Amino acid sequence: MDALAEIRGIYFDECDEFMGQLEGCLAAVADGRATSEDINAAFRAVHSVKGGAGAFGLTELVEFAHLFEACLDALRSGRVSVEEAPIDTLLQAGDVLSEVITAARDGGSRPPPPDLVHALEAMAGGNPVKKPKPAEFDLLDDLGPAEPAPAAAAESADEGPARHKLEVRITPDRDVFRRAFDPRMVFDALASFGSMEVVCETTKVPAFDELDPLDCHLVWVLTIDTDASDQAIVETLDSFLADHEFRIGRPGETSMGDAAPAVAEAAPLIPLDAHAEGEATASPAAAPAALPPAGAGGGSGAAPPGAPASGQPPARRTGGGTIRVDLDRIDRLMNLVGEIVITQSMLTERAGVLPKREAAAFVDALFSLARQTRELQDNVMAVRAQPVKVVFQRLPRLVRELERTLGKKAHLVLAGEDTEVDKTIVEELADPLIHMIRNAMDHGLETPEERLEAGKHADGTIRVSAEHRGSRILICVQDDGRGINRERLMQKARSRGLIPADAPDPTPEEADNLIFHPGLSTAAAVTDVSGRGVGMDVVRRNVEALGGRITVESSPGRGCKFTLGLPLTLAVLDGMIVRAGTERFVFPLSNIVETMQLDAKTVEQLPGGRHILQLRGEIAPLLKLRELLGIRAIGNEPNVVIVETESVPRLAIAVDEIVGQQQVVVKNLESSFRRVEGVSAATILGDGLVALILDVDALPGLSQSQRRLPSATELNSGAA
Amino acid sequence: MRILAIDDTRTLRELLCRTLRAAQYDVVEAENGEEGLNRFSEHRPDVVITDLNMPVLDGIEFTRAVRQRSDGGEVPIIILTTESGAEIKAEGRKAGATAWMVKPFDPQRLLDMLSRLRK
Amino acid sequence: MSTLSTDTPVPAAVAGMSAFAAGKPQQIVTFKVEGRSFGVDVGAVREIKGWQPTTPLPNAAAHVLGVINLRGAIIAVYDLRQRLGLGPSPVSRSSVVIVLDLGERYGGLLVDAVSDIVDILPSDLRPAPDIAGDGDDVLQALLVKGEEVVALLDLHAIVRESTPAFTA
Repeated sequence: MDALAEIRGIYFDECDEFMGQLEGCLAAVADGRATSEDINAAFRAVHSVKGGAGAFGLTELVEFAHLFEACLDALRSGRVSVEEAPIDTLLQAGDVLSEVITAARDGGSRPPPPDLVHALEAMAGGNPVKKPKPAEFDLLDDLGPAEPAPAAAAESADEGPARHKLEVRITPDRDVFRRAFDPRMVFDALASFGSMEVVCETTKVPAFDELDPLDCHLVWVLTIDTDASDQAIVETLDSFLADHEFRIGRPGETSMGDAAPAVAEAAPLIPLDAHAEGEATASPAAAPAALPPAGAGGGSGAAPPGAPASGQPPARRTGGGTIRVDLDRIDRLMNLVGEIVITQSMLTERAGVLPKREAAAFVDALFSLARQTRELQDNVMAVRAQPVKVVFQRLPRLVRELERTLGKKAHLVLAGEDTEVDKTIVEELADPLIHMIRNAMDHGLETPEERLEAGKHADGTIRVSAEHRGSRILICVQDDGRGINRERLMQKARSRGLIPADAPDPTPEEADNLIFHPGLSTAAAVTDVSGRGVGMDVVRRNVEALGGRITVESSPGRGCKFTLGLPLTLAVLDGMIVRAGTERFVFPLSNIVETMQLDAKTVEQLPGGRHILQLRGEIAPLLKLRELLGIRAIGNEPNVVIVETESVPRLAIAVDEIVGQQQVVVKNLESSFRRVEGVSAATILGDGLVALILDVDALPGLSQSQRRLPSATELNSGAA
Repeated sequence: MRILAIDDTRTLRELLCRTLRAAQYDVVEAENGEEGLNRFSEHRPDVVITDLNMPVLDGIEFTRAVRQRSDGGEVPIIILTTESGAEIKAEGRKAGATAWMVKPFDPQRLLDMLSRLRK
Repeated sequence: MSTLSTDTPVPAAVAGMSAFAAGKPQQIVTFKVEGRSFGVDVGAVREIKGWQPTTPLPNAAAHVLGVINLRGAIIAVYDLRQRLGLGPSPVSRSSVVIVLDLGERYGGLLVDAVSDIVDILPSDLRPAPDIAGDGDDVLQALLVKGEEVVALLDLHAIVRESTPAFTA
């Protein structure tokens, strides 16, 4: 790939980042919670898109970004207040900008809609926005060491004005040296236009005892014999000097006014800065307001050190610089941490065989190692952590698109966007979230007419939130629509034989959760947004594949809330190792409430053979791990692990032995075999053998597949 | 000659740095003004080229900060930006910017300018 | 289900063995189960290792022995004898696990012993007989070499859990 194509690739990658930022900022503006930093960031994002586009000669993109930028500038500078900003126009502009970028990437064209352009121009503030100069250069071509070649002169030789004499008078500001200005830079630049004479006027230099050597009192008059246009000369000077610091004209013309200080005030050509005037020069003390005493503030401006003069305090800085790192490298690092965890558990097992005296020191060292490994792992994880914002910021646009397609209105509320989670999880979040939002927009929310009829606001609300809960992240998608149509869902499930005819009526929650069943959908009409039945079952499969779980709560007529629970990372978890028969299994520590010895007196058998455990006045269904997993062994299961699951608040699981706690590296089982019900993943223990990590939330279901778990009423009667 | 190149946009920074490196300059990069100040201390560049609109610390603030340093008075600072308004330029000059170039930059013009600063 | 039927010509129809179709000689790894000879394409064999205890998977088909740790990766091990309907393999000192590349993943195949690596020609191949018997769906073709008949295995059919004990 040649260099330019490579940079072009970088540019479009970067555009994705900028558009992501922009989305987030615009969403904040739309919600009325935008801070000035949001607006600045939006401005910078569009500005950066424009800057890069200019470098690649993407004229359409430059022009649109320029216009958009002007609007954001109006917002930034307060010319247009945030409250009065035409939100829809800005949001649409964001969408269109994204489309223009895509078109540019694909080498195509996507002219922005004229009415949008007009709306933006109106917002940018009456005066039509100047089109930026399109520019395209042969970037990187023939870039040898630079010659001070008179490129401009050579260019203009063809059609420029005939050779003539030009006078340039340079009267720099007094503090010009403090900006590292060297007049020779200007002379040198101008010399490329033709032969040149330089005269230095020293008449304004004050008496020696009043002289600050850092002040500039010199005036230079240059006479150039050139065929270049005035424009070319001005452009060159413009790089170094302000408009008032130079004048050009025919020989003799530029000194007008200077020679006669009396008319200075009236002469429009006169430099405007007070300290450049003859009077001020004669008596520097006469202009104290305009000229700070030499040395104060280093002459680099009147602002005291540390006081931002631009009115915008610099944004807070959180770290000491950033670098970009290949994700592969971090993954390798994470894998290595995983290997260390395994090695560590190997060492821990070996500690048992050491003679006692040596063992103590060894175990101490192991503790340190464990702590350090944990710290190392936390740090690597922190590197991989990303705020869910990365995904959330795509949602406003999705909702807007769906609004258009479906003819519904929805207000999207985001919360907890800064919640951080492992990058892999963030990536995997996108699809389920998009599915759920689609579902909410398509099936959840009613049409505006239906809503008004139901006494609701015509616009629906969709709330998406993220929060940490223990070692999991909970994502909720809640709408205020019609809720799940239970009757319809049940009817379908019955007609398709998904619920046996003789089965008792499911609870409302059970009925609602049928929505995750493949092939069931409550939508009356098949829409091209969600399709029929495809959706929530796919979401559930994807979420479960990540070791997550999804549940739904619905309240008819009032809305529906999907809750997605995912592990914060897929790499490592804290586990409790138990034994059932000859096999060892891992319970995620995050699920465990407590462990205890099984006291036969607290166990009761219900009619039908099911068992319950009396747990300090509470009742927990008691399951036997051996039975659940089909392990044959003899003897009692003397220990019990109490876990919290999403469907059963307290579930007691009898095991043969509680082996211990340790960190385990999570190895996906789907990729090496298939999904196994009741098992979320596998791991490798210290002896090199594989142990299965239990999917605690699936265990009650596993028992139901063999025999039904005692129902709530049975439990109550059993307790009574 | 060592040049400190500051731009928050990776694309433009990359373009700038490649242009400069192709012309045999020693280039130090920074993503924003604050990082620029750190690089300035570490690498003592002979010339600085900085973008204007940047997060954390913008080009003007950066320039002002350099000029307040005891060793920052004589280093030319070129502001490379898409902005060309007289007001912002005056502000830049007041902060101590030596020269102003409008983006998208013409590599040859930039290199010409640098070759002049080199003398 | 076999991918072959008797009336299709051999060797062009030997699915999954493109080299045969091209008429090129091929190498296969042969091994024994219950005294019978079987073979797999040498290209699919990653390594051959001794028996190591497997961790059983709940509710998996009977021929799925469980999973093992292969240098940090987890692979499932299948009992060929069980798959052929000949009952569970008695594990002995000569028992070996052939680690196979199944495309998307690796899998181990527990066999009694590995015999040989043999060169074969397309003309040595015969279609698998279409007799519905236990385990016959794993046969891809028969290789006749002199007196010996080697059954070439359809790897994907072996690992398939045709009647998984449990479906979600």
